[in-house]
Amino acid sequence: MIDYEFFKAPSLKEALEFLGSHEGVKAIAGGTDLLVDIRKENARAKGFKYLLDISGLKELKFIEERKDCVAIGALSTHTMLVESLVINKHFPLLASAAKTIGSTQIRNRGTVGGNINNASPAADLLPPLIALKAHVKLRTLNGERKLPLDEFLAGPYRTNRQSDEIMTEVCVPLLGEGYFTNFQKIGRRKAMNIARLNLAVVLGIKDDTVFDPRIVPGAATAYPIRFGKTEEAISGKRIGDIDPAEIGERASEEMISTTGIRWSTPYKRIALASLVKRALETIFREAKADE
Amino acid sequence: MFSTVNKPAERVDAYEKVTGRAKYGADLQFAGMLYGKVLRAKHPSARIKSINVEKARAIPGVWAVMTAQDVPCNEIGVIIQDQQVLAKERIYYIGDGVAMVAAESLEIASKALEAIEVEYEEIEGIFDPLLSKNSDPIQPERASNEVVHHKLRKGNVEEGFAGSDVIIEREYETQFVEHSYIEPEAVVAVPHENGSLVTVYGSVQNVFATRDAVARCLKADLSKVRVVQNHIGGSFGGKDEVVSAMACRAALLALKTSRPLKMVNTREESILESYKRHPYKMKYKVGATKDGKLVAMEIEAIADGGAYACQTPFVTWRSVVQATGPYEVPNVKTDTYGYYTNNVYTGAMRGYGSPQVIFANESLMDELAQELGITPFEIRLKNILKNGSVTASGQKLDRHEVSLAEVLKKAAEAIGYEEKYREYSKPQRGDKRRGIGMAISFRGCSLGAEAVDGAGTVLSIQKDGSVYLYSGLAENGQGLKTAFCQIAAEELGIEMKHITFLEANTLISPDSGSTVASRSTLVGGNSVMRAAESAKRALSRFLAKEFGLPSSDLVFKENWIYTPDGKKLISFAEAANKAFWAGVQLSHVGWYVAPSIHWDEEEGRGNPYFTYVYGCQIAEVEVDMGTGEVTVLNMAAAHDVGRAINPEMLKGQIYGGVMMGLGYGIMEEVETDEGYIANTNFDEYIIPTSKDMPNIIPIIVENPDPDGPFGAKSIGEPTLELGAAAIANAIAQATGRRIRSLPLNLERVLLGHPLRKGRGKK
Repeated sequence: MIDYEFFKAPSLKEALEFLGSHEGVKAIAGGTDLLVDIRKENARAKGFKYLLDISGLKELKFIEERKDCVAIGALSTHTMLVESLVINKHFPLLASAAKTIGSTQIRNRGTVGGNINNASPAADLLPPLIALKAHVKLRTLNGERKLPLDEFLAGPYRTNRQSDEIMTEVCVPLLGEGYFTNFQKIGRRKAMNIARLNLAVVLGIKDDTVFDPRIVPGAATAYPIRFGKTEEAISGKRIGDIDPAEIGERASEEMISTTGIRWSTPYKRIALASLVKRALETIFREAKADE
Repeated sequence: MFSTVNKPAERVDAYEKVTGRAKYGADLQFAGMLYGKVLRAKHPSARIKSINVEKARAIPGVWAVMTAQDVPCNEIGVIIQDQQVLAKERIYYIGDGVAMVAAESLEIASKALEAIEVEYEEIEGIFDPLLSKNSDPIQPERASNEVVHHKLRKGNVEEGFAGSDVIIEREYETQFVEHSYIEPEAVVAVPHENGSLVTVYGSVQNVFATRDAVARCLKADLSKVRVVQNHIGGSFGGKDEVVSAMACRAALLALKTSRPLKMVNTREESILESYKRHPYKMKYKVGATKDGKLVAMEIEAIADGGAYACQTPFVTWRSVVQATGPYEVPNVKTDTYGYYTNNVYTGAMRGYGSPQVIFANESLMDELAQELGITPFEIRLKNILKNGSVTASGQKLDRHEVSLAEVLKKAAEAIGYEEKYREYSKPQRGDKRRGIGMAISFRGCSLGAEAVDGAGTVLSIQKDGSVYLYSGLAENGQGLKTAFCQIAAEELGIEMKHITFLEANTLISPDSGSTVASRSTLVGGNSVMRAAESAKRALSRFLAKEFGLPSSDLVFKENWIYTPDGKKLISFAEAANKAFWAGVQLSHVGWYVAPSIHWDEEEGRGNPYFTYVYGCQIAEVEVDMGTGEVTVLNMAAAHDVGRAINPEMLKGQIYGGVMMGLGYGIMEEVETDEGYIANTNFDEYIIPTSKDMPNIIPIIVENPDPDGPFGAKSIGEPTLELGAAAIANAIAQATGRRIRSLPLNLERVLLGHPLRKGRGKK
């Protein structure tokens, strides 16, 4: 059993004060990952003395369209993503990804900030947010910093958050003209699913030619990263000249060159290729329909 | 025709369950109650060198710490008494209890467990029943690791194969699965209550089996131990031996401390400790003529019994009787074996030795059909048992309707089998491919030759005409209370709302054996009828005398009693009142013993069951060829139940059984690695959710059985045993690839073989 003291933060300021003046604090919002880890006495959940409940910080619960980005408060729930008109308009893949998380109950409790900060290799929001070049904002008592999500992630279940920081929001830059997005996921059942694999693809198509492709598989590598070589293989290519199946295989090779051969590789090699192929085919179909 | 049975009566326990009034084992509170916890083994196979409990005893709030040395009789078991209440010198599996504590709170109890020091010496374990077969005995006092060997012999298989045009041989394998009852095991033991030595309340499937275990463990008279069943959150065969062990432990601690004691397993403890469905390794050889008639079958099935014998002797016996499937086969040689290993022990789980062999024999039928160039439908129609057929065990089926053709045709029609089969047989392109597959079965009802098959019910009419009844059989969620009330209401001609069913209680209820084997409606229902008939007879005799009637042949219906010529005589309530004040006996015991059967274990033949049920399930699936994902789209389930006592509850059984079969077929597996269990909660032990539920078409077929109450037979287990086989056949059609091991999960479907993670050691 893990012993700890429980505190509830009435405001962001007081939460930051608590973090700034105590060692060994874990913040809890929805608790959909942390409570499971605590119950399991997972090594990740050990070695803390205080649980700081930030779930009541209403100021961190918003989705807001700004001039060049959409800001998502760290305490926004997955359900808010699913239901948000702004998200559905600008980033449908983010709503699709959120819809596949857990169950209704988990989506009602689990937060965007939690999903990012838990930094699970299989987190469903990480691939789409990385593919969307999201930034995260981290606040301390004295200041604020902003850094790209892929720099914020430091490894499986590891981030570059400092112990006195709270993530306040995620900023997702608006996509310009000609962008298409897609999200794919494989699970062992139709709900209450931890991704066996997932995938976010964002790319632009102009004059039948791909630009700015971003391909981010999840649960394929130690933590989600962009597959640069696979992106290169389609960047600047005409979609008629791209064989989605071949690109899928290239993505699998990129996965294996990153992770080496693991017990799950025989499965993931084929399945990731399928997902990439499917995502590209879907996007190309949509692009054609748009013409 | 009927007034109460054969109608969708509301469940008698529905309201209290949905409103939260129903009390489950873990809800119970008693003054001064302590909490018990068990320290479990660290290794699946080890010798205990020493246990030091002194530090634990010294913790304030700890009332008792006990080890095997404090147990009067440490070995329990329904069939073979080899299960340790607490591990004495040897650890046989990862769920073995080593020591236990009673404390004032759960937190103190947990701390006390951490303070117990155990020194182990690891012993190389055996985790494969095939290795176990030829290894030195795991339990030193036994001659070998064989728990049991059953055989069945008919005709001459050598001659049969010699006369066959086509012979195929295949091997199939199934996995460990967990019952996944929503309520983990929970009991409260209360010492010295109302004259008994100890009373155990809780989540108990079989009150008499648990009572027997506690009495044996305490070396007490059976009549001094009371086991009372509470509302139970599912069991599926699972709350027998594991709960008996828990009841023994709780009783020991309660008596030691003279305090009531509650013991509740966490989900992790439950999955680690509780017995599972047996994994089977099966070899099938079948010979047929070129026009598709079966000639010979040779079968060997090896069950992993795990650490303790538990129900392995009887589970493998049902398998030996039913292993050919419901077919006429003139020459059969079947052998089933159970072996001890250091894996988690295996026991009763809904199906009880049938889902494994059905997966094999129904896969085999499709493989043979393919070999012969006929359809799965044709090969079954050619070979199924019919009225007057002789089964593999040599039993002539002439006492009831053998309705295999009927269930097969009705299921096929409901789902559009033939058209879809033709459609999906054409070459399919693209990633999403469809298939349709069927499975059929015959299933012996009730215990068969396993044990004496008697059951009793006490029915008591009160002086206001209301009625209560209780039985030795128990409500495990299947709807027994409702079914029994319906049968009593029908027989007494009164409304169900006047009838109350009490809980099973071993110091009141007649010992009726276990609530298992889909036997309650059939055997217990007959005892309800007998009790009601007996009460009716007493009332009728009294009324005939009272009213000076020539005959006591009265008619009971609609809360009234009529003369044989239809004259309204008196209301049931008034009759009960008059009879009570006249001193008429209004409490009656109904006792029913199943018709005689026999089994010759030496010769491997006999009439093992007095009747059978027949079922057919057909699954339509879509397989994602790029990811291995399987979606079960539609599932038709036709079951001959004799008579549906409650058609709506029966559909509930079908929906639940189909879903359990689906889980078994495509996702569930307790992952064991050298005896360690990797997935001990539902985040990793994957069971289907409502989103995985296909469109289920339930088809109730009724051919009343001469021995069933109103013709009723069984439904609980038949609904579960077919799904995995039907889905496997559908997947084979969709993908063109046959997978012979369960579950058909992502990896198996995509790659054709499983991937092992190699983890779990803690």
